[in-house]
Amino acid sequence: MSRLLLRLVGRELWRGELRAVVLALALSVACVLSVALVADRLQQTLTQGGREFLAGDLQLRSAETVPDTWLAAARQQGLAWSQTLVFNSMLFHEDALQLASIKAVGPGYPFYGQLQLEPPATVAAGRIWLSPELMQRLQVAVGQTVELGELELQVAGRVLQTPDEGFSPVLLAPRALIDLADAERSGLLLPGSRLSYRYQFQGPAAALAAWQAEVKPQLKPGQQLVGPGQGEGMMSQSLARSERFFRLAALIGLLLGCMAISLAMGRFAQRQQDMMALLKVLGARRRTLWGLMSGLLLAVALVGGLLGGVAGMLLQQGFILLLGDLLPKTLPSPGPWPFVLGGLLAVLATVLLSLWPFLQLLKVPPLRVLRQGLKPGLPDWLGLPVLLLGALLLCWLVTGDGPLTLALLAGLLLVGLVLTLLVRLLLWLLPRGRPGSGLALAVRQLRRQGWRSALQAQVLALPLMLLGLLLGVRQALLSDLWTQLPADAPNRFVLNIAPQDKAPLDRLLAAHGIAAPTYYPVLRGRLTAINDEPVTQQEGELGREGIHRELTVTWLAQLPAHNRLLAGAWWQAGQGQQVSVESDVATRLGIGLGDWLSFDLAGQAVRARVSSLRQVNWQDLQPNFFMIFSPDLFAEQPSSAMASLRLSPDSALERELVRQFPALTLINVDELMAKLQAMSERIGKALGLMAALITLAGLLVLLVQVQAELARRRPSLVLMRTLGASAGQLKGALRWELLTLGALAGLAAALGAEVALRLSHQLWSLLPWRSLPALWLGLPVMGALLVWLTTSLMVAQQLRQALGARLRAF
Amino acid sequence: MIEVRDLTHRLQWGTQTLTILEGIQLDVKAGESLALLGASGSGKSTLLGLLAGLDLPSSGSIRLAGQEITQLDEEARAALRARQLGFIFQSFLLLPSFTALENVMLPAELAGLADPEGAARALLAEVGLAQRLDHLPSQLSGGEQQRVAIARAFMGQPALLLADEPTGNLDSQTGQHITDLLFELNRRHGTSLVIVTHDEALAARCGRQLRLSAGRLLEPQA
Repeated sequence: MSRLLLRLVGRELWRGELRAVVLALALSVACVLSVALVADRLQQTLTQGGREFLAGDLQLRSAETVPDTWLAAARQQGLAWSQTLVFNSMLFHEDALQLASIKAVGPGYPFYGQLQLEPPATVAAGRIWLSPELMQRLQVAVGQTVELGELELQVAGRVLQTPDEGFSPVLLAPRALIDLADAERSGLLLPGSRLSYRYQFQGPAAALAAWQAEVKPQLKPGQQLVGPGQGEGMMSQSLARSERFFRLAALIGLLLGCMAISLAMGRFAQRQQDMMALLKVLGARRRTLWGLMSGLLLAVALVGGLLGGVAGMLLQQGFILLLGDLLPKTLPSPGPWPFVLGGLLAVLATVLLSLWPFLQLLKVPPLRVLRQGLKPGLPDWLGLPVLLLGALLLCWLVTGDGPLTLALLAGLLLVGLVLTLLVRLLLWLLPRGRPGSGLALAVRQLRRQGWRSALQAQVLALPLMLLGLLLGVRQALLSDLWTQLPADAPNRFVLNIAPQDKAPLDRLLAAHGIAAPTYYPVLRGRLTAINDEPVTQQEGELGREGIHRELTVTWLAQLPAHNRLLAGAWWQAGQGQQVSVESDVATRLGIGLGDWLSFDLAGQAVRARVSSLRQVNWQDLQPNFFMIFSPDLFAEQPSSAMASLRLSPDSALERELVRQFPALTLINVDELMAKLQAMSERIGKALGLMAALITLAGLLVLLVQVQAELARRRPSLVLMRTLGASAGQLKGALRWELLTLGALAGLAAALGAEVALRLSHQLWSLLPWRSLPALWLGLPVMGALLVWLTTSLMVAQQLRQALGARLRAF
Repeated sequence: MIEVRDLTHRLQWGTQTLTILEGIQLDVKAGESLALLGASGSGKSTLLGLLAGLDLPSSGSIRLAGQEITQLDEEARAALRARQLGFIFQSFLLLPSFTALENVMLPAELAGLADPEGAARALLAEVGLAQRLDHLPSQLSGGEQQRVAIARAFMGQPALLLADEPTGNLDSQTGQHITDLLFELNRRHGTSLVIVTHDEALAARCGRQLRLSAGRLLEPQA
């Protein structure tokens, strides 16, 4: 039997339907594996690094310095501690200036992991290490000096890596490393500055636990203790969100792959019924037959799984390449789980999706050899629930999330249904064409098949629609932000303006013909409670939802001109203890007029009543705030201010500004936008690769369907041929039919994408909406071409066979 | 070789019961050849299926090589078929992805016999296809395909050969060649033969002819 099995595998595996099954399986595995591999390697960077990643056994994160008593307590417990501080500031070298992310480190840092400096050195006061990018931008060499705030520091070398870097693709500026003592002397640490303190602790586990128990109850909102393996929070939100998109896309790929597998398996099993009956007649035992069929399935799973494994690894490399510097520079090699998942998926998908057709096949009565058309004893209708259950199980295996799986399946079914209806409608609207022409024959045939045509086109329409959506979103992200900005929109944010600098700053600007900007005093802090009910400080916490990050807030006497009041009234002179809330965040957190909000702002507890809700246009590049307070609350509060300016490109004023006011931080909006754009471009490209994969899966489903359709139509083709239709006529009609089907799928996809973009704009005002004429032309052409490219070979072959068969088939 | 007694076969068709075969008595001796003739729907193929144990009768007994097959389960009947029976079909029923040689080897491989290749080669040489061993069925003509099927039927050295319209899909000249070949091999291997056919010329070559009409054997057994 083993020889027979080998022969069967050798002959059938790469033919007809089984080839489609193997390819679909490989595609499904590749989709899931590639995403799982990237996710796993990211996850490992975050968790496996453990102590190295924290540069200590335990890390305390805070937006301000922590009480000395906490550190003294640590010392008392026998713990060693070190401190780092990260903030943004301008660096100067001769005429060059550049915003940098400054990391100031204290003695002892890092306890674990490596601080890579070139040449190797220990961090000391009076010196600075720059990232290669900074070196290049500032045109500075080792041994020369740069200015930072009020300090002049000597460039001691390059900083290549710090252990607790994390990764944040929107890290505004390239890295520089200094001594903590210099940071305090620089005059840059003003109230309202965006500062990120980290304390690293090292010591025995018992001492750490004792200290943690002492300090934890005293933590203020926003302060966080992080142990090894809890570093997930370091993954930037945009990356986490993209990961979710990738996972969803992979699932869609998997589901389409499943569909192709099940269709092809069904057809394969059906075609093998005669063989099965014959084997039974020739005396094959049940054990032999089960052995042959299981062996065949195992071979399918093995080859499909291996192919998928290789493709998945390659794809993963592709994703990493496309995502580029959005990911950490070095990723650890993947753990075993993605491969286990891929292997399990290959075996389970093959078994679950083949279960029913193969059971039916094994139940074929031997009498079929004498009486064609005799059916197996198992009902056909049971196949669908078994199949759906199988698909559900597979998705659940991949996501580990039941509700998400159900929602995705339901969503896909709904989109599929809508697309099917759309295709049916378009089919009805198609012109009849010149009688006797290929197009007319094709349209008539497609109409005759009705729902079957619609279903076939829908399978391709779905991935094409995803592609359209992706292009639409990308288009919106790339162009609209730019085109909507007025020509005089500010292009620099100025941060860290000390109160005493405002008047001289105004004078300097006036000397250059620039009107004095509006200064917004700022403080950093957290929302702690709504109507005295505490709110969550981090995602995943239980309780009333809060804003899970530090906020920058301001206080103003007048409503900013670029904000609009939606509800309530702006405070009048004499009214106090009030706050105006941005309307979207109010809706999200369920905040209404009259509610009392509590904050922790720069260590100070502040309570204010909501007196108005504001609409803010985040795209106008003005300083915008979730929370604006009435000025009475902060009359005596020391603070820095921010403003926005429009400077002409390459203006000498920029250098003069920072020369004269060294503490100022200038954020170049154009540069920031370019960075954001580059980031979305990268994610878009990687998602594009995923969409291409999904399209491939869709094409495979279509291919299997067309194959079955041609087989079904073979007798009628032979008959038409016998009745005198020329080979050219038949081929032309088929070609037109497939081209029309592809174009219809593209048209439905364009319509679907347009509607989805429009809806997302109207319901969530996520993206500026604009019709995309390129989609309307591009998708139908693409659909037609793809269908033709993938099916033309098969059509020619089938037609040749059918025409060769003549009437012998009857 | 075969003893059939009081064989009746009925099928349920909705609320109706159809009688396909009734009161069949039949004996086929070792080495004998028998033609079953009859119009379409007379029950010829059903009788052939029952003789081969592909289906079970409503009542009556069938003894094949001394064994009562109506008492055996499907698994035991399959084992009996593997040992005792060879088949030839109107539509040849060759596995399309297997070569001529591999198709002939199939029954022996299913039975787990050692070295089936030598016997298969010899049989293909006997049917005149020594040069076409590695051809796929799609590369062979209808007559050649039926010759492969005949070689396969003789592969397990069966005691009884059952043929269902073996020339039904062939033109008359090819059909004639196939008939010659079938009887020649039958004589050489000493096999019993039961042929279901419409073809009077083919039936005339058999030692005995029986006619079925509406599920009954018209001519009583001599």
